[in-house]
Amino acid sequence: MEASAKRDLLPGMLDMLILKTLSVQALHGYGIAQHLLRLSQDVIRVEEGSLYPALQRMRQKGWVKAEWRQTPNNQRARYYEITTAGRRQLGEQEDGFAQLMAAVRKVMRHA
Amino acid sequence: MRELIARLIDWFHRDRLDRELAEELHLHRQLLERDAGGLAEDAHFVASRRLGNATRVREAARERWSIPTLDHLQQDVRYALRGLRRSPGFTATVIITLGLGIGANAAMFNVVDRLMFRPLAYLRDPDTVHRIYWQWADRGTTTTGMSTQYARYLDLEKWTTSFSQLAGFSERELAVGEGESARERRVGTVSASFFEFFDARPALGRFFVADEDVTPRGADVAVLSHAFWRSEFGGRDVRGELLQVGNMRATIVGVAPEGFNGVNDANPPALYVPITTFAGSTGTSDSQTYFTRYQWGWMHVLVRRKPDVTVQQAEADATRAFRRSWQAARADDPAYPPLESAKPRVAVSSVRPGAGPDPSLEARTALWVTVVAAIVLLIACANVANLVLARALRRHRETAVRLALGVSRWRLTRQSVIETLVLALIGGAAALLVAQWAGAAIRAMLLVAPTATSGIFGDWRTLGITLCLTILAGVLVGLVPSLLSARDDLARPLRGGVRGGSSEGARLRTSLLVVQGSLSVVLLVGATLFVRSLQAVKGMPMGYDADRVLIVNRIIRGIAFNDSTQQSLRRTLLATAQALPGVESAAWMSSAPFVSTSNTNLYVAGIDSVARLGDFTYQATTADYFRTMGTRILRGRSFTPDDRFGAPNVAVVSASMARVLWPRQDAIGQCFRMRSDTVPCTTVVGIAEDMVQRDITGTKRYHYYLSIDQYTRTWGNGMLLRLRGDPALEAESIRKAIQRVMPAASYVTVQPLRDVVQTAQRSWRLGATMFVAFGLLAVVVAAVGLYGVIAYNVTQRTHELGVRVALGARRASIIRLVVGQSVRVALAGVALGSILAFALSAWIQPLLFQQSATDARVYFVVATLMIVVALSAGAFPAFRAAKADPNTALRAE
Repeated sequence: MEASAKRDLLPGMLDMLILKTLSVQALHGYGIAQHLLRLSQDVIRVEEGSLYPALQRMRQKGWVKAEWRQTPNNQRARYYEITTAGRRQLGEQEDGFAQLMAAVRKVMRHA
Repeated sequence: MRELIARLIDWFHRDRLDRELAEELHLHRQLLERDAGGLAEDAHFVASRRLGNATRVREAARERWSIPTLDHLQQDVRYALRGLRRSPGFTATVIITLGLGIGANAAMFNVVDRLMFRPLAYLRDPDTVHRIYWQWADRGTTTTGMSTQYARYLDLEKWTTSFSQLAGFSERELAVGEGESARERRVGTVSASFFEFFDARPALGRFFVADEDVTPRGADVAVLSHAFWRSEFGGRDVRGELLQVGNMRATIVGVAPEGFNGVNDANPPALYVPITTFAGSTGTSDSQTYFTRYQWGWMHVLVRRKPDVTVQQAEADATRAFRRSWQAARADDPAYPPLESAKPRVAVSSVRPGAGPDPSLEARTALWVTVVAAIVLLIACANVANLVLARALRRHRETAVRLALGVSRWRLTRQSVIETLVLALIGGAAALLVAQWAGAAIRAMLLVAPTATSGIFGDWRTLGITLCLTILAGVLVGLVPSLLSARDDLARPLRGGVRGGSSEGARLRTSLLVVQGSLSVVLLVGATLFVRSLQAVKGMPMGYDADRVLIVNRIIRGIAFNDSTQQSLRRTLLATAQALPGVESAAWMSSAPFVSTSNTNLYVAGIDSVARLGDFTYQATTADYFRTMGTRILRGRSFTPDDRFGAPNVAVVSASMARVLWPRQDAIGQCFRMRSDTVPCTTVVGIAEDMVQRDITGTKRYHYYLSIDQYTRTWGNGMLLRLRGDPALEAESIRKAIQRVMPAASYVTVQPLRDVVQTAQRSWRLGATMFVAFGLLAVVVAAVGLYGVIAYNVTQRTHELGVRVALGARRASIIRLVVGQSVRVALAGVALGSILAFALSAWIQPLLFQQSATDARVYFVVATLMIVVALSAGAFPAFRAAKADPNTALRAE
């Protein structure tokens, strides 16, 4: 389990996963990490060192918005929300990812 | 792009972003601990491990809002500000010097731009739009004029193919409104096609159309300017309202958009009427013939070139049309000079007359002053470079130490450039204040009617130029010392101690001083020439005493234009004016000096062509004219009330005219004939001293006066009053007193003759004022530079001078040593500057009056002044050096 967590994600894939997560609901950084961990059944463990720089980058690109809110436990946390530009980006990335997976599958089947 | 902007915005908020990230990471760790559960210590360990190196995370995220170049820039700016705060004297000198230098240029750019370059508001495709300039030879000299006849405009339209649009236009001061609210306003009389040159849509209603602009008389419609609409009608819906404009009773059909100034943004019209409506309603014979005959030249022509036609082709085409039109005019009026001698041609040139083929003296002077301003900026830059250099040398060891410690030369250069850029930017801000303040004065002198919105702030073109100049000056000045330090050898200054001087720096700085000195000499020579020129203009005998003369113009509206009403009004007005206690004498006149003159063909027995001798101009006046103007009758007599209609025609001629027409004879009793050689004689009864009528610098003052009662072509349009007191103070009360007897809607305007004369002298006054101001500025700047460098050298040579004193050198010889250096620099500057000024003299000569541009006395005065300045600049440091105690100097290290 630990070994798989260290496996690198393909470039750009982290952005896609974060955007996908945020397309359901606004979350804070820790929430995003937990969400990915839970859905991937502990395979995708996003390190904070990649998560927060990625969020800042996407904020500057205008894909996500950040806002300070209170958590249900009454703690101050920065929540990230997907923007229209972010949804467009997510759509493009999903298409690209689907094509890539199809291509990889073909190669794996015939090679 | 968007990301870049976001990054830049984040960079400004980077401290807040850092804090927020830290908080975010802290929460992350807390939540990890909570979820890990179990023993707190254990959880903390797990959390820490999972979170990894917090600093590393922070650094990675922080990269998103750090921009290294900006960070370094900020450091350098802070460093520069710290350094500048430590030497306030240096900082203040540089800022003031650059502020004055750049400010002078900003102000001049603003003026020249307005006179020559700025595109007119709303004008579509300005590159293809031109004004037509008419040129012809007159007694060997080429005359360029913008005014022409409506008939010629029609010819141009008919006989050319190069233009896609043509419009005639003219501006008139007409009485607008009725009763108490009637005021003289600038009225644009324009073709309907005029508005099609612009991409302007009426703010209200419409512009007038071709059907309303037809010969012989167009429709009575008017389009208001936005400003006039706002100020006089409060911006209400004025469509359909009637407005009295001169003799026209016009229906308002529309309002031009805000900022629409036609082709005259210096003094825009308040409203526009069709050109044919105005021409057809003047009430003179011209209004029936203006579109068929070539007598009344009063309007300008605007054209748009077709896209595939070059300016040269357009000029050739228009010249052909002009020649054809000239022949037509000659067929109509045989007095027109023949084509062969007149050689008429057309120049298709700038809409702005300042950039046209015959710019006004103001425009030419403005260009000159701009050159002067540029020289002042050069001097200022040289001076600042010198100061910066001296400062860099003072920090020589610091620089060497930093280089030795491994700071890159590039970084040092950048730092020094940034330091001067910071200085220049502050100087640039000061320059805007200078330009705003000085600019108002310059504009008042150069532009006839400065508009309310002519400030510097909010004028993007001027602000842009100021910023460019500022950065240019900053970089230029900042590069000099760093280039010097780049060539230096590292070890020498480290070994040298305070005694180590740099001979290279000294050479460079001395050359800068010589350059400054020579440029100052050029400006001072210019200043002296212009001052002497202005003195000559002022000292010129005008032939009258303008100081206490008031011009009264009467504008007739609402009563018939016929002999009896005009003459009775004239008598009433003269009697009213003469009865006023403040009036010494009063005369009726057809025009006043510098306002207008008339001329016609003269025939004198024994002279083939009087016209070949020069222009003979005349005015029609009443008996008291000469007394009122203060013009002396040299011989013979003035007019009397007996010189009335029916009596033999008489004239008073100027002394020059008497001399040129009847040389070696007595002019009194001579006969000349006006307009034709078959009419009865006009007999000369008096000779008056020469009077300046329109051209101050002219040499031929051929002028004559007629008795207005014998002169039937005009009723004359006003009075000249000689007052007992100052016209400026009494003008208004006199205007009110005369206004009371004006019939119907007619009214009077008053203007001191002195103002008219001063306007005519304006360009000389301007040249003198500007050159003197800039010349003195240059000398002060150069003197400060000289003083600074000499003083600095003395400090550098303290040790050497100390040794000299210790060895028995006398004070006088020390002083001579130091002052000598200063004077040598000044002499070199004088020599170089004199050569430069001499080389430029040919260009400046046309702007001078009765003053040779190569006058040796002027050069001598300037040289003396420069040497005196150099002596004083050197004296202070010299005395200080001589008084210094050799002990202190020698023990210093």
